[in-house]
Amino acid sequence: MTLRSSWLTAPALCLALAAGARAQDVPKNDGWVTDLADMLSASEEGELETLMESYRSGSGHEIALLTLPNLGGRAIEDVALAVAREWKLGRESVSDGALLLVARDERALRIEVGRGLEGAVNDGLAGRIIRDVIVPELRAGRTYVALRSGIEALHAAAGGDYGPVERATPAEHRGNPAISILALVMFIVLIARARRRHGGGGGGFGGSALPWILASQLGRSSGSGGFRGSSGGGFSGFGGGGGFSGGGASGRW
Amino acid sequence: MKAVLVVVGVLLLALLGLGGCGIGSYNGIVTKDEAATAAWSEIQNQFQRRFDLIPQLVETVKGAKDFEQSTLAAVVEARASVGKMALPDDPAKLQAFVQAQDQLSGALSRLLVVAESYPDLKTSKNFLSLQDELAGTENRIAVARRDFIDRTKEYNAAIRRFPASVVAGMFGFEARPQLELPANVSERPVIDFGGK
Repeated sequence: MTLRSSWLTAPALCLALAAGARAQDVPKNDGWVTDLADMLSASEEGELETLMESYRSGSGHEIALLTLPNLGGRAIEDVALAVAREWKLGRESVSDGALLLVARDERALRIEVGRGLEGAVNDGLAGRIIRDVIVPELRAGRTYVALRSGIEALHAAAGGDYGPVERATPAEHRGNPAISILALVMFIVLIARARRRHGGGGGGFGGSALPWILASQLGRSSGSGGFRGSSGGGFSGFGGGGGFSGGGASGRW
Repeated sequence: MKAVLVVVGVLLLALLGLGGCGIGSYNGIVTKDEAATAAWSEIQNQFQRRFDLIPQLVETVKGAKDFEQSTLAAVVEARASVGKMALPDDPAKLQAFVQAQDQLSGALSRLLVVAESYPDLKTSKNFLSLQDELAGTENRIAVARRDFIDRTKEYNAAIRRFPASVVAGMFGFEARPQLELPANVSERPVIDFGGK
C-alpha cells in the first residue's frame, strides 16, 4: 500500500521540487541611485539618475549607486556582492554591470565589478578610482562631486559613452484626456458600424485607416509615462546579468 | 474488458509520468553537477591568478630599501609548495591542497602588513595597484569558495533526495567531496587601504 501510494505521488513530488528562494538581506533598489543613507539631495539624485541612464543608453553598461547608513557589522565585500547579484546588474548575456557602494557610518566604500567589465575595470583601476577620484572629494565633504566623478570615472574606464536619454516625463507623453475619450468613443462607434455592415463576420473596416489611427492615439496617451521613475531619468530596471565573482576594490575615507 | 483497459491506461500514464520524472531528475542532477564543476574551476582560476601575481609583487617589494627578507622568503616558499601540487581529485588531498593555498594566503597578508611600514612602497603606484589586485583576488577566492560550497551542497542534496536518488543510483552519480570553510575565515587578510 505504501509502495503504491509512493508511486502515485512520485511525479507530483517531482513537480513540487522547486528551488527555494534565498531570502537575503538586500535593500530594495529604486533606480540608478538608491540613496538609503540620504547623502544626496533630491535634485542631486535626479541629476545623477539622468547621467547614469544616459550612460546606459550610450554603452549598455549598467553601473548603479547604493548608499547605506551602515553595514550592520558585515564586511563591505559581502554586502556589495549580495546586492550586485540580487539586483542582477548588467546585461544578461555579458554581465557588464558594476556597483558603487558607500557605507556612511563606516566611511567605507566599494566598487564591485561584474565579470563582463573585469577586463576594462580591473581591480587596480577600481582601487585608483577610489583612492584618487572619490576619496579626496569625500574627505573634502563634497559628496555629490565624489560620487558623480566616481561614476564618470567608472564609465570612462568601461569605455562608456553618453547616449540620448528618453525623457519620459509624464506631461510630455500624456495626450489631452478629452481627445482620448473622443477617440475611444469614435473607435467604438466605427467598430460597431463596421460589424453591422459586415454582418458580424470578419470585422473588416472597409479599407478605412481611421480606426487604427484612433487606436494608436489611444495607446499613446494611456500607455506611457506612468511606470517610469519619477526622477525623469527613465530608469526601467536592470538587465538581469548579476554575474559577479568578487572583483573590484574597497577603500575608506 | 473495459476494466482491464482502464487499468492498462492508468499504468501507462503512471509509467509515462515516472519516465518524465526520471528524465527531469537526471537532467537536474547533471545541471547541478556541472554547476559544481564550474564553481571548482573558478576556484582554480583564482588560485592561478594569485600564483601569477606573486612574482610581480616580489619584484616590486624587493625594490624597496632594506625590505625584511623573512616575510618575502615565506611568500616565495609558500608559492613554491603550492606550485608543486597537482590538482587533487580525492577529498583528503583536496583539503591538503586548499590548506597549502591558505598558507600562501597567510604569508601574503603578512607581507602586505609589513609593507605598510615602508614609505616608498606605500606611495608607489605600482605597489598600490598590485595590492589592489591581490586584495581583489583574495576576495574572489573567498567568493568562489563559498559558491563552490553552495553548489556542492545543492548537488549532494539533490542526489540523496527521493526520487532523484533512484536516478542517481541508476546512473552512478556519487557525492562530491565538500570543501570546508577555513577556520580563519573571519580573519581574511584585512588590508589597510591607507585611510588613516
